[in-house]
Amino acid sequence: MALLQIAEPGQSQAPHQHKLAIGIDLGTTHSLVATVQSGLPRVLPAEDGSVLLPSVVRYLADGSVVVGEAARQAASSDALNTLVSVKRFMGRGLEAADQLGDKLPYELVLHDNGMPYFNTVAGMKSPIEASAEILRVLRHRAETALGGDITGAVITVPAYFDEAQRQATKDAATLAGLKVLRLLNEPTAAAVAYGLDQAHEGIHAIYDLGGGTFDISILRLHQGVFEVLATGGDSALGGDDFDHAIARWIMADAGIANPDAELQRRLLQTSRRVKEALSSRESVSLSLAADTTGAPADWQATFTREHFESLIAARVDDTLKACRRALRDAGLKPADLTEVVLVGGSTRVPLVRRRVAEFFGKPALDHLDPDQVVAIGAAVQANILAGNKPDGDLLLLDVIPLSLGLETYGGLVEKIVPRNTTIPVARAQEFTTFKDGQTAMSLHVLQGEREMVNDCRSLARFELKGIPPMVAGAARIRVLFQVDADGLLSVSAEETTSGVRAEIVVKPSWGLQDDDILRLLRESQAAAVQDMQARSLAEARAEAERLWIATEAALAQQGDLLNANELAELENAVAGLKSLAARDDAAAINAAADALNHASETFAARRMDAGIRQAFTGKTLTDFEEH
Amino acid sequence: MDLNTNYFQLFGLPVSFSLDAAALQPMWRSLQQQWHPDRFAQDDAAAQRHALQMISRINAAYDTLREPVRRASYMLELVGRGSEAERVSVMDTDFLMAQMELRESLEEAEALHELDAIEAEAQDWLNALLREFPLDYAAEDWPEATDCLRKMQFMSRLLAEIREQRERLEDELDDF
Repeated sequence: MALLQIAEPGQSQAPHQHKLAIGIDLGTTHSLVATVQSGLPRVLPAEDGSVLLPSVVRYLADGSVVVGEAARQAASSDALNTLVSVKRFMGRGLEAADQLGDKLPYELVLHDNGMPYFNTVAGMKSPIEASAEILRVLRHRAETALGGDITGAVITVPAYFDEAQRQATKDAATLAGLKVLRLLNEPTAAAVAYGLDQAHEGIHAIYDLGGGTFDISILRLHQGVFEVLATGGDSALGGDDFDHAIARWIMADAGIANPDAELQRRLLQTSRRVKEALSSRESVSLSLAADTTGAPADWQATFTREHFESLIAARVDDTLKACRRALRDAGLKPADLTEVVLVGGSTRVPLVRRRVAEFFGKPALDHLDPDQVVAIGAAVQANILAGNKPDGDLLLLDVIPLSLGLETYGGLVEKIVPRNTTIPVARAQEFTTFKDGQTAMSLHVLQGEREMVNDCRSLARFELKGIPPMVAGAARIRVLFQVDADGLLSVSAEETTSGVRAEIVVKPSWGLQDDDILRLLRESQAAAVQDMQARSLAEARAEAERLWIATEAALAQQGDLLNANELAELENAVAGLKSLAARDDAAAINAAADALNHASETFAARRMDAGIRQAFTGKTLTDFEEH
Repeated sequence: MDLNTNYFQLFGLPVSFSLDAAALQPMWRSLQQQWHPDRFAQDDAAAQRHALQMISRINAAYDTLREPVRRASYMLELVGRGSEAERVSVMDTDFLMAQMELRESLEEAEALHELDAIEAEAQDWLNALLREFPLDYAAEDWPEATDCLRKMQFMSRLLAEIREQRERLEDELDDF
């Protein structure tokens, strides 16, 4: 039918002077996206109104991917193909797998590049690819909500993420087609959200305990400058560990020895619910039927908050040790802090709140939603970096979380950039040859606080060749470490007497190589084209169906307004559209729909005339005013 | 301002060992406001690269100037005596003995109050050296200034080890 197009209120779009920039909190348990509109940051909900996207990715046999709540619900029934807490695997090896008992919760394969891959029905998938699926959903959500292409995104990472983990996150964003304006440390993002909210000057501790990671950051806010004074934490400690503690207790108490992947998932989901319930209740009752668990008998138990707290106390103490270390690094005492802010869903656990308040000697602030505050802060920073606030008075000065260094003689690590150094930073150090006539030097870049190479994370190896032969100790090799604002490192080496140079951007030891990324990007673009085609076909069909149903209904009602020829033409057009709609050609369907619209113009005009006549017949003026 | 100015010039200061570390901070913040890469997020790649180089240098300068031992080392570098400190070994036997004794007591220390005593002594040594350095420097007595720097480096490394030991002890003793 030739229908008038009327924009709904709120849909009409004023031209954008504003660039669309988003902040994404890519979390272990869930992820979310926020933006700044009309100067106010807000989180963007999905079409169903939900804000938190469960960070769960399910791969199906036909190659399609389900992300979010639907995937989460399949987490135990299809455990091997449903990836949860994938953030734990970013830039890490097999040790990141959260297994209960001897069995791995996934089929994991260690790839040549050092990353674990998940063996799913849709093929081998890296943690980076799975994270990209989550980011893609959030990007799509933002584009739908904001009605345009996204200029760029600020993606948050735990402050304690090392180089490999940061690079993996950046690669995932690239795969998802997002331009990364900045990788922002999560506690810093939270501080931005609180800082803006309160405009409080002073020194703040941000205690951020998420699903899989713990961060503590000490920041000073002074005249619009956020300066990170120290940061610390554990990139493998979070609420998931609390779930595991409960699950292990259930297994021990119910006599379950070696659960398969499905049962592991069910145990963890139950444990998670138990943990959440114990935030507001003193105890919960649990039961398991023998047949579903492989347990020797039906099992029933009461689990108290006190018991739960005894299971997790040591882990909570670990977080406080990290807090004390961060304070020491900043040269501060707990009493020096203006306030303590709680971030991350796991700070809802009462023991955590109590111990943090005791340690810092003051009640912790939590008036912003701990699940949303990081995304909000990221959105604020994205808005500034996209150029929407050219005179933005807010400046973030971040630090590197772990020391960077080089291997020296005897397997020792020489630190070049110590942890908690403000970035961006460049540091140079001179080394020399130890053999007469030595013409090459091998450089091994490491990250970590320990003295020995084996206890630190290996980031990259490269060689400086072509050093002119000299006596031992005569060559001057200047090694320069450059860390950019995202915390990413490049290293160059130069023999200063001859000018021989070599350099490397650190990333290859772990994670995807550039050509992997290009290949995956091409694949995902091909997939995106397919997705788009599928979507436009579905839309064309839906529109065609709506059109022929409306036309047939109108013909049934008022077909008498047309003569036989006109009627036949219209019925032909309907039949043509119906037959085309069965085929997979969106363009043909749309053309047939246009033809039907065109054919029905006369009919529409006559119906409108008739309608007006009818409307005026037998009605008084008062009726109209009331309508 | 360009990349060739020395660290003191970057902060608008004369080359001098005595400077108010607290006064560096406001200057550092205003340099950050001016040169941080976020300020150039919308500019072209060349401008961004320049900003990255500038801010990296500013941060390196700040870290060097605010810490007296690094500041002393840098001042010797400025007069072309930087690499000598690496090669010259301290010959002062009194100092070496004192340093060794402090290390031995550090290894044996098991209580925090023992660490406090060792730290106070090491800090006294360092403070005396910090008073001596500007005098040697002003007299352009490079061997003495270099020797003084070496001793400062010994002591500041020792102080760092004392701090690490303190962390270990606190983590062990503390049951929260």
